[in-house]
Amino acid sequence: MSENIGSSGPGESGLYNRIAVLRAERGIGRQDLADAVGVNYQTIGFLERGNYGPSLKLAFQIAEFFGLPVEAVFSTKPFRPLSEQVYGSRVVEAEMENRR
Amino acid sequence: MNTQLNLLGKRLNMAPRAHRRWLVVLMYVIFAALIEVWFSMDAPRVATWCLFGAVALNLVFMHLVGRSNEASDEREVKRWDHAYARAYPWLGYCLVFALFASGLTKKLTLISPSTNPALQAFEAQLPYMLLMAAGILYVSLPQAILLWTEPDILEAE
Repeated sequence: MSENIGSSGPGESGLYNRIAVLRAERGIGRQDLADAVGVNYQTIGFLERGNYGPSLKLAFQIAEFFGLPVEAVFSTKPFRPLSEQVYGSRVVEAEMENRR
Repeated sequence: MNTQLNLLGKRLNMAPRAHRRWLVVLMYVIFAALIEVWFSMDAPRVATWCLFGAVALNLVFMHLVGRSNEASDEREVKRWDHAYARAYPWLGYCLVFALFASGLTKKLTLISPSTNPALQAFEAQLPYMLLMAAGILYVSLPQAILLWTEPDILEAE
């Protein structure tokens, strides 16, 4: 369960994704994202829950919309939480500093 | 897929799959009742109203799921293809059973002629009932499969 924090899925699609996290982080609605990539807003909902695995084209369109590489948005393995990925190494470094 | 259904002035939320499944069950119970009424009451006027009723019920399905040529994205196209692929075998079964029940294929018929007059009347009507069921399935089953299988729909936000 904790492995899955920060990402959705894999559900029926067998694919994990960070669409919901990225949307929330940037304050983008499902409809806005759907309009930008040319799909129905319901499709974004199904993608987020892992009910649908996107085509390669749609996966790239979504990644491009967020300005991220596709592997930062979709993965076959559970994502680490974004906060841990961004700050994890800094926290470890700070702890090492304190010990010294 | 439309998530709101206006029924006699009342707005029903069709986003949860459970609601849509109840609707599908209700629709087919009504379809079955219409076929039964049509064939049990030998009156052309009743038949006409039953036909209109079946069309009206089918319009409810169409309102909710739309048409296959209106699919707006890749997921919807896939869902329609899946629904058609699952629907057509059932249509085929209905037609094959209608053929057997009709007695056109005397050597293959599954139903042996009954001596009971009520059963004889039923056997005489069975092929037409199956053909009617095939007609209703042809126009409604892909939509019903979509309503049945689509997971709960999230809000647009």
